[in-house]
Amino acid sequence: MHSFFSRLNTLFAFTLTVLAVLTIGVFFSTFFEKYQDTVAIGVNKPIVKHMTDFSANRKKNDLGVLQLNLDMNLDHLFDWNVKQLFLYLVAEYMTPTNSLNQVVLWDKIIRRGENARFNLHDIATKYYFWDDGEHLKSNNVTLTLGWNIISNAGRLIHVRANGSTSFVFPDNYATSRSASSKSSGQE
Amino acid sequence: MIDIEWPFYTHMDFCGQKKAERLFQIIIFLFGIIGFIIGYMMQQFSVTIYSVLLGTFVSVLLTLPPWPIYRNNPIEWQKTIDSRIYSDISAQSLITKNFESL
Repeated sequence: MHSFFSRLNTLFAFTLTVLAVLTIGVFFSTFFEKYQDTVAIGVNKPIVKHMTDFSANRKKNDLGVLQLNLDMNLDHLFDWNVKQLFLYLVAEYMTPTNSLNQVVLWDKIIRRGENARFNLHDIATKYYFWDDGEHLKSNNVTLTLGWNIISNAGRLIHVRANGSTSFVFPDNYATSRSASSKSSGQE
Repeated sequence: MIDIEWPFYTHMDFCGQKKAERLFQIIIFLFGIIGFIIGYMMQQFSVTIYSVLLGTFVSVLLTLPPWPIYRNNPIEWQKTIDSRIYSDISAQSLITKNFESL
């Protein structure tokens, strides 16, 4: 401790130790938090098209097209250990070849301090709803919203919200001309 | 950078070093605890970090420069012996001579 720099070194090391202990304290203070909430999801005008997926093989696959309504208020999820939320809307259904298919249709990143209340109506899905095959006609699909908690100090938690909805695709394929102008499929 | 001859002194006494170390440990620890409690109430972790950094800044001002309160117990060195007058005598008789002069 005799020289100026050894005092500075000791002080700096002590500061870092105190910061590390406080961060561990933050981790323990939110260890048992569940981060659960209820959201409202709605589906308008689901249709199925049968066309070639040019990003995959050249076969014709089923493409689902739908509009979404999303209502949620996620302000209370942001405690002092949450840095951002990663929301994703996943569609799950069953086909004769696979017992579970999951397709992500919409996602969003909400950082701390941004608006966490959404009332979206009749928005198009962000990603295409391709089926690997042709089994979307008259199939029962469940839409669930989930989020991924990204903490300051802690585990990465995946949470599925309460409030999932199901809908059934129509029995016939839609032709391109009868699709609505707000569809996200190929024209 | 370590061995530059500054025009001011930079060292403290041993008692001063003990006081300085105890002081900055207490200051940073208190600012850390207060920052943790306020951060928990406001649910903002940045408040905790800023509080600890403020505590560090206060400690730097109070304990890094060698203030006079840290120099109140100067080390008492023994008187110097001019060893040139003993350069031709062996070590044994040097010790004997020192015992005689006490």
